[in-house]
Amino acid sequence: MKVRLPASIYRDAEIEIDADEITVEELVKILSEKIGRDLRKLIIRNGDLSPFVNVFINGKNVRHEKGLKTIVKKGDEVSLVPAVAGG
Amino acid sequence: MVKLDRSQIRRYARQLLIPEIGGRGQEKLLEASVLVVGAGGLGSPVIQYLAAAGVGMIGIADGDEVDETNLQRQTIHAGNLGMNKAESAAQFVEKLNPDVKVEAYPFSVTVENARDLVRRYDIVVDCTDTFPARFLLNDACLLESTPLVHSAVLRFEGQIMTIIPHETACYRCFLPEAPPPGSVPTCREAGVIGVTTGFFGVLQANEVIKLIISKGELFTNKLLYVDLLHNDFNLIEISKHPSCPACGERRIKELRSEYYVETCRIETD
Amino acid sequence: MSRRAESRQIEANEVLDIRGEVCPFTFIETKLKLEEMKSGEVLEVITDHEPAARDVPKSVEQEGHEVIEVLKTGEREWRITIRKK
Ligand SMILES: [Zn+2]
Repeated sequence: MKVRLPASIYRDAEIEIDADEITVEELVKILSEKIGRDLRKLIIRNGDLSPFVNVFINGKNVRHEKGLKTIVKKGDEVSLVPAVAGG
Repeated sequence: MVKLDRSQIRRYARQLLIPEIGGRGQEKLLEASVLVVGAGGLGSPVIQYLAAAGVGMIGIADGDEVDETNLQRQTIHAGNLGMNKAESAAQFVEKLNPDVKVEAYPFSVTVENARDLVRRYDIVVDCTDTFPARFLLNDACLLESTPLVHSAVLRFEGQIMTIIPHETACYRCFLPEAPPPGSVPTCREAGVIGVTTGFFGVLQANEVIKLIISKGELFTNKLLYVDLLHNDFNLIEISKHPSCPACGERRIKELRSEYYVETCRIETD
Repeated sequence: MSRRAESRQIEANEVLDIRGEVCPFTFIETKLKLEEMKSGEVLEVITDHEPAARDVPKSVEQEGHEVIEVLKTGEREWRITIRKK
């Protein structure tokens, strides 16, 4: 699975994670270890998905599915997008 | 069919030369009507470039007044401190291009007036600054089957997405509900710079022009997320979601005020 | 510089007199006129702007139309015959 991180969350990066089937929560843990920075504080809040960040698996927001418990499979593309509403 | 007069040929000469525009495209622009909701940071470039390009009818809705803190990014309100923003923007348009008919709505878009306003226009541009306003416009445009060009910004970052109702992913497909109020910083709290609103507003105007002339490609089923501080451009695929509370299998049938408070959740009954 | 076609008899469906116009309006006026016409129809453009006699045919060809001929018809007058694609 491939994870795309925008510069404002980590630094502009595309990170490959080698796993068959994991939850978003597990993905965040593995990702944090891999980049050497704890993204959990940013992505997880009170055991739930933080309102600041949206996680997309193949174009679908995991908020439509099971949030942090949503399954990510081998070959999936994951993107993180911060929430903004200003104008 | 509109026939371009001598002065119009001169005014639009540079874009008449573009094969994708030409006389036919210009006539389409002059016959089009666009509603711009919000005449602030995003609205300023949207209004400016649509008016300059000769979009025949521009509606501008905004309930706020121009204040000094706006001027660093809201570039069309020169000399109009204290004036309603929709009216100030309308003045700007009238000075810039007499071909454009402009209608100022000096009030906010609400559950009560949204559908009626949206219905009068071919295309709606979301230049608002709150999650509830954005969800309201998305839902009203779905109900009225009116294309919507969304954008939102913060600091040096922003996003843009174009929605063709019931054909492409909507704003709630991207974001089913809003973060709880106060959990995400607003421009008022976290700041924004004029170049960010300028950049995204110009992209919105470009989407509108392409929609009108039916040429090129749009940000449909995708969202462009840009961090202008790091020049980081992310084009993210967004799919139309079958369980989307607005456009999915159990799509909304009407606007209800309870859909636009707090997290703007739509409870399906 | 004039391209002589054998068929001087070609009847123009439309005549566009843009004497007094300069570039780029000579081409824009021609382009707008062609947009109004049907495919295969013939347009005759009259210009008194020398660069236009050179540039209009070039630009029109770039848009895929056929330039049938460019004739110098007076001291400062050119007639450009175009078939719409
Ligand atoms: Zn939707």
